Amino acid sequence: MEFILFLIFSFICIAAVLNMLFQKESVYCALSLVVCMASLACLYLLLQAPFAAAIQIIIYAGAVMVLFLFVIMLLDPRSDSGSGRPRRMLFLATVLGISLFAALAVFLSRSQSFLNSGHPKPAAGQIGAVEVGLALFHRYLIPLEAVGILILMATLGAVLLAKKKI
Amino acid sequence: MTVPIIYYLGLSALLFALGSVGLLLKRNLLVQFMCVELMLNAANLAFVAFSQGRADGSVIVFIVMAVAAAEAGVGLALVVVLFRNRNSLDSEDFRLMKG
Amino acid sequence: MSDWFWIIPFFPLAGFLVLGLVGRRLPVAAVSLTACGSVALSFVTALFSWQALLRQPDEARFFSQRLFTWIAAGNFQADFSFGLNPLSMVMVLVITGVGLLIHIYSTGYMHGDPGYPRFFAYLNLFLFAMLTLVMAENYLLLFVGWEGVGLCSYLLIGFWFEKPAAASAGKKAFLVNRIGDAAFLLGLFLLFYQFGTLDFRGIEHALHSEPLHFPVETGQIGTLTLTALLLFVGAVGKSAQIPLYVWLPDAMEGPTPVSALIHAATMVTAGIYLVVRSSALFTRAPLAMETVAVVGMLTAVFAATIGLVQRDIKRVLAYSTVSQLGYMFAAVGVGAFVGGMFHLVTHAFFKALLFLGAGSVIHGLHGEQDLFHMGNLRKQMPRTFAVMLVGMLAIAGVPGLSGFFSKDEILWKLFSSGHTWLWIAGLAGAAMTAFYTARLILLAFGSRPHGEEAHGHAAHESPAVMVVPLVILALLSIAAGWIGLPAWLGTNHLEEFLSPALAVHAEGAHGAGSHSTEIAAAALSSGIALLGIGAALLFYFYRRLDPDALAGRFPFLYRLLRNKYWVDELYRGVFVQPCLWISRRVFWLYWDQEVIDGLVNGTGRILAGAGNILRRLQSGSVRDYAAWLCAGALTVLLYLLIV
Repeated sequence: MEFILFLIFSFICIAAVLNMLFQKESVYCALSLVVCMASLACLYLLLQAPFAAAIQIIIYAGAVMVLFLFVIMLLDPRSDSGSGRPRRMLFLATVLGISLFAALAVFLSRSQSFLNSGHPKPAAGQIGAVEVGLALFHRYLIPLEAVGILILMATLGAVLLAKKKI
Repeated sequence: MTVPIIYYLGLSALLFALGSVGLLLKRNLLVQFMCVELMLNAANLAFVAFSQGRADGSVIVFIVMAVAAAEAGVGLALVVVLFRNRNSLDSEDFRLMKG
Repeated sequence: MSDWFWIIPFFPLAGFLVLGLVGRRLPVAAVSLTACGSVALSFVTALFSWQALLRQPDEARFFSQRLFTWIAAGNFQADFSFGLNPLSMVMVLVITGVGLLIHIYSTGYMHGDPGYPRFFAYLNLFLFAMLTLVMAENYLLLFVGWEGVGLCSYLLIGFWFEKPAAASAGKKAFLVNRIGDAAFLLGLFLLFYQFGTLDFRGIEHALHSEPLHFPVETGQIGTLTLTALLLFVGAVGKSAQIPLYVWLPDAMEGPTPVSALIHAATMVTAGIYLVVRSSALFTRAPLAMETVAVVGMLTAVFAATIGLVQRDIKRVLAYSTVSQLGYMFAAVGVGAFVGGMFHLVTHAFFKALLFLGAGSVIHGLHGEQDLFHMGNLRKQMPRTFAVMLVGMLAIAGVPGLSGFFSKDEILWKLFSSGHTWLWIAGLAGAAMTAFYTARLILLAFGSRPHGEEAHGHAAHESPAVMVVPLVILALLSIAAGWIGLPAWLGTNHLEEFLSPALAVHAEGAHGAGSHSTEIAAAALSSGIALLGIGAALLFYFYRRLDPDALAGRFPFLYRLLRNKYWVDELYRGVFVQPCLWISRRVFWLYWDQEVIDGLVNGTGRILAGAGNILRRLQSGSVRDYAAWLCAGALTVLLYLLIV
C-alpha cells in the first residue's frame, strides 16, 4: 500500500517537474511546481514527518509560490521564447544533469550504509509539531534565531529593492 | 510494505538533477528561480528520508524553507527591479560582461 | 676635570647641530663665533684634562667614562665610552689646538663664500668625529669616528661640488677609503673572533699576558699577523700610503683650510694613531711591523719624488704630506711608536702652517695655484713669506726646528734598529723633502727670471685673522721640537708622557748605538737637509743650474715623475674601467635589464595572460555561472566518491 502511494506521488512529482521544464509560460511553470511541492508534502507524510509536510504546504505551496505567481502577474513578462536556446547549452545541460544524477545516486546509495537498514523503523513514530518544536527551541535555538534575523534582513532588503523611491 | 529509503534518495537525486537542468536551460529569470526552489526541495526530501524517527530532519527542512523564503523574497525583489529597468526577464539580456 | 673630560667631543657636535640646523639664518659673525667658540671650549677642556692627567701617577694616567651601552648582543658588548690616556691626550690636544687655529683662519679664508655656515658645520662635525675616533674606548666606536671623518672628508673635498673636479675628487677619496675600511672591518671581525671583545683594554690585557693567552677558545696566535695587516690596510687607506695614496693629491680640490686640517694635520694621521694604539697587537706580529715599515718608507720616497716636479702649490704639499706620513709609518714599523707620534705632532704644526700659508698665497692671488705663475710675493706678502719660510725650514729638518728633532729621531731609530736600507732611503727622502719645499718657497716668493711675467703684482697680504694663526703655528713649528729632545741633548718629555700607553717601553728601543753615533747621524741628516736646500737654491735662486735642461737630460724620468708614475692611469685601466664595464655590461645591461626586469615584466605578462584566459569564465550569463556551479558540485561529488 505504502509503496503504491510512493509510486503515485513520485510519478506526479516527476511529471510536474518535467512539465515545468517543457512549459513556455511561466505561469504554468509555477503551477506545475505547486503540484510538485504538494506531492512532495505527501511523500513527507509517507516518511512519517507530518510537520514537514504541513510547512511544505503552508510555506512553499502557499506563501512562496503565491509570491511567485504575484510577481508573474504583476510583471506580465513575455513568454520564454525557445528560439534563443543554443544546442550547445542543451547538450551541456543534458550531460551535466545526467552525470549529476548518476553521481548523486551513487553517492546517496553509498551513504545508505550509514543507516542501520534500508527500511524506515516502524517504531520510530511520527515527527509532529511537538518533537520539532522541542528540538527547535532546545538544540537548534541559535540557528533558529539566526534564521529569524536572516528573514528580517531579507524582508528589509526586499522592501528596499522594490520601492521605487526611498 | 514499506518503501526502502534508497527510493526516496533516488527521487531526491532525480529532482535535483532535473532542477539543475532546468536552471541551465531556462532563460526566464523567474523560472530559473523556480528551478532553484526545486533543487532545495530535493535536498529537503533527502534530509527527511535520512532522519527516520528523528526531529532533526524536519528542523532542517524548516530552516531550509526559511532560507528559501528569504531568498525568494530578495530574489523576486531583484527581479522586479530588473524588469522595471530593462523590461525583460531574459537572463541573457543582462549579460554585460565582455568575457 | 677628570669627570668631565668626555664632554670634549660634544662641543663641536653642538656647534655642528646649531650651524647645520639654523646656520643659514644666523649672521656671519654668529656663525664664526659658534664655530670657533665650540672648538675653543673643547681646546680649553682638553687643556684642563691634560693637567688633570698629569697630576695622576704614571700608572694611573687613564680616564674612562662610559656614556651608555651601545650594543649588547649575546656575548658581544660595545659601549659608547670615551677615554683618555696619554696617547689620545696628545691627539686631542693636537686636534683641538690645530683645529682651533684653522677655524679662526677659515673665518678669514672662507669669508664671503655662500656656503660659509655649511663649511663650518662640516668642520665642526669633522672635529666631533675625529675626537670620537681618538677618544673611543673600543675599536667599534673608533670605527664610527673613522667613518665619520671619512664622511666629513668627502663632504669637504666636494665642498665646491659645482666644480666637477671637486665632486669627482670627493668621490675618489670616498671610494679609495672604502677599500681600506673594508679591510679594517675584517680586522675588527678577526679581533672579535680572537679576543671576544673589541675593547682596547681587554685586548691589550690579553696581549700582554705571557705566554699569550686568549680569553676565548677561538683565539689563535697565527691570525694575529693577519689581523694586524688588515688593520694596517685600513690605516693605509686613511693615511694615504702606497697603494691607496691616490686620493690625497686629488683631495686638494677642497678648500685649503680643509687640506690643512683634515688632509695634513689630523684625519690622515688617524692611520698612525690606529697602529700606535694597537701597538700591543703589532708588537706581537713582527711580520706586520716589517710590512708597515717598508710600506711607509716606500711611500715616503715615492711621494717625495713626485713632489719634486709638481707645479700646483697644493699638490706639492699633498705629496709632501703623503711622504711625511710614510716616515711616520716607517718609524712605527720599526717600533719607534714615540718617534712616529712625535713626528705626527710636529708635522701637524708645520704642515698645517705650510698649507695655511699656501692658502694665504692662493687667497692673495685670487685662486692662482700654479707655482710657475707666482713669484715676487716676498714683497707683497711679507708676513706670509716669513711664516712659510719657518714652515719650510721646519719640514726640511734644519737643526733647531721641530722637524729636525722628529725626523732625526725617526732616522736614528731606523738606523739603530738595524734597518740600514730604510735609513738610507729615509735620508734620500729627507734630501728630496728639503729640495721640493725650498723649491716651492723660491718659486712662489722669489724673483722670476727675466722675461717671465709674474702674477705677483696683483697680490695682497691676507687679513690679520688669517695671519695670526699662521704666526702661532710658526712659533709652534719652531718650538715643538723641544718636547722630544734626543737623549744627547736633554729629556724626551713626549716619550716619558706616552710610554705608559704604549706596548714597547722606550728602553728596549734604544738598542745599539751610543750618543756619539747618534750625534753623527743627526749631523748627517741635517747636512742632507741643507744639501737639498742648497740644490734648490742653485736651481731656482742663483739659477746656476737649469731645471729644464736637467729634465731634457733625463726625459723619461722627468715624464715619469710629471705624470706621477702613471699610477692614476694604471688604476683607471686595471680597476676603474673593468669595474665600470662589469657594472654596465653585466650588472646593468644583463642582470638588471634582462634578468630583474625580465622577472618583473614576466610576472606581469603571466598574470595578464592568465587573466585573459580566465576572464572567459566571467561571461556575465547566469546560465554559464549555473553550469560552472553544477560542474563544481559534480567535481566535489566525484572527489568524495573516489576518495
